[in-house]
Amino acid sequence: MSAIASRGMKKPWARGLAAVLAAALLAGCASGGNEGGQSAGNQAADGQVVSAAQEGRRTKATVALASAVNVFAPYSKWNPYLGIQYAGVYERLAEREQFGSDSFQGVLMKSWEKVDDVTYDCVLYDYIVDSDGNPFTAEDVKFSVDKAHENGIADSKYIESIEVTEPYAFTMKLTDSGVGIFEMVCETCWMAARAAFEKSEADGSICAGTGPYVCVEFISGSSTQVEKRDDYWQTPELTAVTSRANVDVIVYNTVSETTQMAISTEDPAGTQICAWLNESIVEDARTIPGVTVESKESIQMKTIVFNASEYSACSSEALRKAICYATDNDALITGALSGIGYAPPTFGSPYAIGYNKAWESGDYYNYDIEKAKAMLAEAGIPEGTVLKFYGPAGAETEKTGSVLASCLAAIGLKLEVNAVEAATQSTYLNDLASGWDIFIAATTLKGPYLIQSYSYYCSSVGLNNQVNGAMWGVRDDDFENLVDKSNSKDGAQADLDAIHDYVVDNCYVYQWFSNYFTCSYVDAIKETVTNFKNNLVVGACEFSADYAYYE
Amino acid sequence: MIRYVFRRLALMIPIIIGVTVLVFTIIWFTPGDAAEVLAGNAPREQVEELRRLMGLDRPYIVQLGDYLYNVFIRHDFGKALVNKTSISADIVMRFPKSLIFAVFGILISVFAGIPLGVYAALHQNKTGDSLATAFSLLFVSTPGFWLALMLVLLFAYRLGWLPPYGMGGVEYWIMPVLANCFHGVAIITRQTRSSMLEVIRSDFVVMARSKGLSEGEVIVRHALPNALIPIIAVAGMNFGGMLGGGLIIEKVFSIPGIGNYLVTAVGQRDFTAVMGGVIITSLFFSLVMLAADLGMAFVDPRVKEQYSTARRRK
Repeated sequence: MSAIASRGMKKPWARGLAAVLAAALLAGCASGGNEGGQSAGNQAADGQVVSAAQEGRRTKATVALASAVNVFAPYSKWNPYLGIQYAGVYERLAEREQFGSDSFQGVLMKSWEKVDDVTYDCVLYDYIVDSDGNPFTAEDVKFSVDKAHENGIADSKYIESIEVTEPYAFTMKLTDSGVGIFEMVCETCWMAARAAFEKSEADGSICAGTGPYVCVEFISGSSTQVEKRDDYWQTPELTAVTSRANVDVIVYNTVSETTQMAISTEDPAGTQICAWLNESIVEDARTIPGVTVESKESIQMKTIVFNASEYSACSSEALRKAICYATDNDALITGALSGIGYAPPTFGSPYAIGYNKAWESGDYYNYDIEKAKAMLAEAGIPEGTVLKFYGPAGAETEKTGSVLASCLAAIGLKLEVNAVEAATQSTYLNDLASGWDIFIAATTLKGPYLIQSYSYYCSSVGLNNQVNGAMWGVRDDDFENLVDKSNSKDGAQADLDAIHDYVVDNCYVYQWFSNYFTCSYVDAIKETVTNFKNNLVVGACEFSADYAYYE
Repeated sequence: MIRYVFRRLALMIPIIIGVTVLVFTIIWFTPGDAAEVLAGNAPREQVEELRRLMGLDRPYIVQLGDYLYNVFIRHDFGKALVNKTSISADIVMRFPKSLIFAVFGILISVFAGIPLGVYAALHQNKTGDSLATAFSLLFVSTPGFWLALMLVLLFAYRLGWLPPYGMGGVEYWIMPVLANCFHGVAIITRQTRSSMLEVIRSDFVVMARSKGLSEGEVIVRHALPNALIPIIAVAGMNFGGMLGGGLIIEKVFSIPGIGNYLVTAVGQRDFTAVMGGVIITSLFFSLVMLAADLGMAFVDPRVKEQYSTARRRK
């Protein structure tokens, strides 16, 4: 380019300009004719509809991801996009087979045994080798947990200590005897051999993992390429579902701009999988021939939290119920989410262990204006009362806020919609006197068991950071006792039922809606596979025999 | 002249320190802090403990002094809160991408905008002038991201000539640079036209013509250097804008530059990364403005004369 520019400088201005632009275009044409159009993607050769078993060619999946991954190292804080790219490269001690499953499978761990409420004896497979050839031992588990602690990886704080008892055996001591803590911490930390990590620190390379793929190229914030290992340590019959490697090469490209993502969905030859699609482009993607569009449930639930403290009108249970009855969820899903979401039939996630299907038969404040008006009258709240709604800054809060405002207008309440930046959100939420009445919070499954999420979000003795009790701002001892009972080893389904009923009856929070994560993929991919967090695991997807996209 | 350069460089020191203090202070007063980011939703006592361990419970002035010491003496911006990577290393990796993007953007803007502006001025009220004016009006008012998407639709999607996004060879840079520079081309064209119109009516230009110089010599040797001063100022501002403000283009083309870094850091509440990014951007912006001032001093005979006179007086 500099040569072009300098040539231009010697010519008269106008000719210089023409030369620069023409050269730029020619450069694009020259490379674009062969690879330029594909280099961010991956086109099959001309006219090829050939067997996937075609010799000497490696199958390749190019994936467009809507958000960037800025770091590729095992001891990183989880996010959905990081989860997708790390899958297959780094492995965990054990994890649930899939989202919503109660089947817990060992990945690096061969077996484990509960010694007491907080102590577990664990044994690793004794033939684990990472992609650099380093053996993975119990010492490496201890090292990985220490690094996770050091990096503040949230759930690792439940591991008090790792004691290495034998080269491939260790004792894990937990800080909490709560239900599901062991499973949660096993799923929390990606593991890596100390030798691999120290090498990566020393030479700036990508840390080798024990998974079936090795990262061969990582451009922070832009793209990642992983390739299948020929020497993956686990035998096929014992390989975890998420450690399967059904495609040879995977390229992840960051495509954070929605129109670019829409273009990628329309170019299945260049990009075979797009995840996740903005609601605004899902319908168009459904019309593209040769492309399947699939919506997956999110682990996040958008929850209406009422300020039940003395500082808000929402301290009135009847008002809270009036608001819930007045909320038209169909209008919300259609109007604000373009149909790409769902309203939960009751309080709790059906993908958590302990969820009781029978709860769905009850009335979870189904849209009923008459009931809403009656409740409002019972609350003694005059017409025209203004309530303050807060949510994280963004289009979703604007849309959902305006839907809720129109719903409440039908019963004579006014809603003031306020968006707050993520940086200030917890400050507002914690300050009950700051004026908020309704807050929309993104609540996430906090482990395999429902009680873990209930405990986290609803109880002051759980894991939330509320200074005034539960997330709705008041301490309720009856509720706390229910949580304590259910979160102990004696906890039974009846206790969980009691918590559910208590929260629903008191209407402290209202689980409002959940977005779907939508991905599109070429028809030659028969089935997509996700892990316990419903993150796509590209390598484990099922590719048909006529999958014809090659490196 | 060298004296002037050194004086300007020396002046940059308080500016950069001032920016650092300002950025640190704004972030210090922003609700929430690094301990909250690291602790997530941990109980309040744990957040307080973390705050104490990180030294965030110390007085403002102590924390500020510590930060200034680390940045200016140890050249260490610290580690990013979220990714745990070295901020200096992150910036070193990302900044060149934004710089390349901005340098080529400004080069095209200058080498296209000045000739177009000169041509328009020399053909005032004729077809060429009208076309150049229309061109500049069109691109001044066209949002960069829209233009970027149109380029993608045409060159990547319809024609398949260029990759739609990502990082790689020269072909990956063409659309981002073009999308980023059209606004600059338009601005510089307009500025050049108006400056040239002012200059070509000046007495010294009439004098140059009356001396029998060719029209080319009159324009290149006499009119253009005098018209360049405001153009250089505008180009300098544009370059700064392209450097820090190309984040929308960076987002459209998935370029991991400093703009993208800053936006991600803001979204993740990564205060240390935000501070590092803003300080480096302001440092380079100051350097660019210095270069623009030196360029003005270089092309303006009056400025040159001013320095020569100062030297003779001594």
